[in-house]
Amino acid sequence: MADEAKVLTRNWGKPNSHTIGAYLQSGGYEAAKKALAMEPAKVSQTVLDAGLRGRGGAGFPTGRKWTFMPKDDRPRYLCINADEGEPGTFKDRDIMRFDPHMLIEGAIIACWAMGCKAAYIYVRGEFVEPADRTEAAVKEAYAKGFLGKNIFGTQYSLDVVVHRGAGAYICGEETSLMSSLEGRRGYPKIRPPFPPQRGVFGMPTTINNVESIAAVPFIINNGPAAYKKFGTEKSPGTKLFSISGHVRKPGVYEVPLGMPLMSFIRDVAGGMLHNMKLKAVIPGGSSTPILTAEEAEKVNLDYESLAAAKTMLGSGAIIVIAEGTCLVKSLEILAHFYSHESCSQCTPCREGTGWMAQILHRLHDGHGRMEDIDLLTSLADGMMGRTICPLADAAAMPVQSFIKKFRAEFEEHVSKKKCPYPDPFPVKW
Amino acid sequence: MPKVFINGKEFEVAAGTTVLQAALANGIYIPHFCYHPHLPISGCCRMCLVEIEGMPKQQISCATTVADNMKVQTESPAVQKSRQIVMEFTLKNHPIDCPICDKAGECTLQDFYMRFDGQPSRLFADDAKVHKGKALVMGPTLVLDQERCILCDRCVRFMREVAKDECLTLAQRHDRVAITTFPGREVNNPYSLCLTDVCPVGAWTARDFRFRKRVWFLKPMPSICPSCARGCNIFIDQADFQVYRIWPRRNDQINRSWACDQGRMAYHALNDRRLTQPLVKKGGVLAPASWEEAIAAAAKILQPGAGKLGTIISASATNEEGAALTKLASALGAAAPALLFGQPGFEDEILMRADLNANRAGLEKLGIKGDPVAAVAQSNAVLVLEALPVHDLDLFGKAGVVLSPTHTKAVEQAQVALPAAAFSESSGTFVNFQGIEQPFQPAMAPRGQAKPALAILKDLAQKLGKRME
Amino acid sequence: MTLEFSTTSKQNLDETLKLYPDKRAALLPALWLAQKEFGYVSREAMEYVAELLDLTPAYVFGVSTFYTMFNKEPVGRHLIQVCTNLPCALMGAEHVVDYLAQKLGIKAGQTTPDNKFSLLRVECLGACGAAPMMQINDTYYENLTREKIDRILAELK
Repeated sequence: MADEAKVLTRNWGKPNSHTIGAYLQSGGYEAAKKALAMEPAKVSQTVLDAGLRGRGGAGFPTGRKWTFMPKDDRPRYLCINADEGEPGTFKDRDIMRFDPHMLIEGAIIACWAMGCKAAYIYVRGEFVEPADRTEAAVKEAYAKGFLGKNIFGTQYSLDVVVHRGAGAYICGEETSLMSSLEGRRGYPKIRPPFPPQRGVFGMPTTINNVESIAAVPFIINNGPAAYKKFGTEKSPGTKLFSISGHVRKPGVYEVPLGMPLMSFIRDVAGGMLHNMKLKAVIPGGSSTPILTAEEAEKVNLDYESLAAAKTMLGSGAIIVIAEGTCLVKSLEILAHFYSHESCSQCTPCREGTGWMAQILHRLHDGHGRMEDIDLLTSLADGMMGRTICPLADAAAMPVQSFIKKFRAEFEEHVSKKKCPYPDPFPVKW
Repeated sequence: MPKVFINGKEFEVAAGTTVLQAALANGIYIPHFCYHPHLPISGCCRMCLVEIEGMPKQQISCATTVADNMKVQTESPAVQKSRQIVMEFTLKNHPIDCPICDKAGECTLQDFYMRFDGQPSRLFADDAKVHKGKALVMGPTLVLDQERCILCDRCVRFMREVAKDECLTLAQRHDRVAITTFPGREVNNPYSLCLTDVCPVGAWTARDFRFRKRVWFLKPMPSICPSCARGCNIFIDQADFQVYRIWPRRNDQINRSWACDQGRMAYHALNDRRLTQPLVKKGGVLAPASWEEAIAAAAKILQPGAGKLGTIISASATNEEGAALTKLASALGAAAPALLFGQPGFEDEILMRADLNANRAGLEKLGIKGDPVAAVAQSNAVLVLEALPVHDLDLFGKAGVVLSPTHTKAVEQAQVALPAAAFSESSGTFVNFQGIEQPFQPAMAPRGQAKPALAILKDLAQKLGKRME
Repeated sequence: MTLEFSTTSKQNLDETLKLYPDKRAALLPALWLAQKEFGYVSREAMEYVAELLDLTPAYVFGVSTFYTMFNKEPVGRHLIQVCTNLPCALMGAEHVVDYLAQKLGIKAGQTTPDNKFSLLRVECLGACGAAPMMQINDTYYENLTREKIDRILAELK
């Protein structure tokens, strides 16, 4: 089953897979032609029936999201979120490097379904190669008449623009992405109004993750039932999982949703590096609550199972942590990240992330106090649910979960007045 | 019209009203920093969070439109907790400058701490506050303290939307973020001092006011600005018989929440070079005299038969003063008053009017309109009623009885100078350029021996045996 | 000295402006152009771009300072950015920084005296499966070892 699950990665590894020639040869752009001959509403319905859920982290049904676009005559836009910044996540990079045409084809279908005038692919500034490849692919598509005026000889015209960011994790938040695209500081916008009502440039907008869009051609080509063959009932389809940390074969793998986490680690990612013992796993990107090794044995890689374990599938970024790793240092690194990336717009996040990073730095350094541990949890609790966007929640959840599940390690740093590990990270470089 | 229940009480509001607006309009206070009735909504301070039935997370009331039958709690334990939490984060990096900060006593942060927080600080001494620029001179009128700033973004919004001069920005990110101009540039704008009003804390302070007076010693009295034909509503802050500053009073029709720097700074004229006692020219030099003496000397000049008498009134005098002078002129057989309105000033689409007078519309409506230069030329003697702001008037050697609140050219040339109360020390009515009538009361007592101009005209009439009915 | 874009850059910007319904949206592309052409996003560059796009210099300053990839000061010819976020840290990223610092004789945040290399710690670069890794100018270098680093640096002019 796992071998058949090549919805997204079917062309990876083939020579010049990123070129239009290779893509057309493998049957590319047939789905686009098929979709353009369908009623737009039928296209959305097909994607909805397939059960595709947003692959950026939110897990919202993509087909349903498309129906939120209003039917007035203002120009509509699709923004494709290629800002991939969640620590541990590196899957969209590979889609853009290895199969940008699959992304473009998905964009064409999505835009047709929603009646969009243009799609902006917002790529993080650091992804030079992926952005270059995508831009080249866009040019190829225009040259073939797949983009631009009257695409594929129809009445429908569509533009696709690759827009580069410049170093801001927050721009992966959908309304921050819009602000940045508009040429502003990457500030998330207060909602309501929601993007379909008032999005980028004040116009109706839908924002979708790269992986979500890239899955669309398969669904149109093969139908919802073929997609639902993979995965679970509530989490159908396949997902690209990025796995990193202390495993033998870190990388991006496409598997059906629902695979047990430990099976994925052992069978797909080659098991623990240097036969180290597992200590903890972050299952869905650094913002998702951490799992102990014991908890990791019990969860499957789908939305429901991880939610039941009080964590999240998120972006599907699995970070594997072996025994001998200092989790206080690990949390300090994450806290520093969230503080550095806080857009600064709202008070609880701007000040809370900075404060937590300060305390954790002091704690790891051996200058922590016992009360700092509960203070950290209190600050994290205070930030949650009180901000404009979920970055504060993303910063809070690691703090809450690390302390809840590994409290003894924090206490040890305080009582010993130093980090008990000779090196916080056991792998010798 | 949707109905909203706030803390169990039902209110009907206009469609489109936000929960915060609905609450404030009905006497229910929800604390807020970044919301301002005359600026676009920001939603960044998070202080106005409330509980709304049916919504799992608390919502910012400034940005939540009332839906019919919405049920809001603004004082529940959860909301109170949120306020403490937001306050703690707001205070995390805020320097406790209160002992040296001008804003103390009118500081929203202080007020909210006392009213909604009251928790001791949990900040450990080793966790340093972030340091940013302090006491940065940002132009001719303003000083900026970036550390005190709570990043409410009001000043940025004000400059962009109201002053139409996008000279301020937030720069950098995370807790290093700070308000600034483009490096090296100033805030040089006719509305710069509005920043000291919109700023909830002591980040923006006025160079003119810094360290001069603790605000709890100041008594704010309502008045109308006379510096141009807009007639902005103002407060005059005074203590020790001195005026310390002028700041805007909200009037949604006329000046919203704003006042221009020119109008504010005109407060100096209320303190400086005031005419505080009657003066009579003896041997070519103006010498102090008693009221009795001065009125007698004035009556000699003004009595009918002494020659052609001209009357002139400043376009910033009140309607009442205009009517009184017109009557007196008629009783004395003098020419109807001419209108002294000076040179036009700067005008924009925001507040400032080129007509640098408080009441030209009102006085013209009373029929007062002649040319003051002609009035002087055609007379042997002139009775002049001046007001603030001052416009130069040359008497060209004619005998002058001048009522004025301050030392002017005309006062220097006069035979008799009578100290009149300024607008801030009288009552009266101004009509602005939109035709809006604005009566006002005295904000303080007249200086020295000055009297309201109406009282002086009455004394003159009495001395001359005339009635001003 | 007043800055000005080359003719090519001007054409580039004109083409870019057509892609958006609003001039302001061309700001990030314009700042990238400026960084490429002038070496870094200086104050003069910000004022120049502001004028081109009918924005105020203050506004452009605010946007430029929000994004970390716009260098507000000149950097070395090769800007070495080592990811030190968690997945890379787990695989020894701090040691990579130490090694580079020692090899180049500078601390993170500094530039070598000959202006050849600048060294920076950065957040997640989205290549965690190949940790530890670094970005030098536009290129990612992954699965770093001491030998690999030696080779990479030696090849850079």
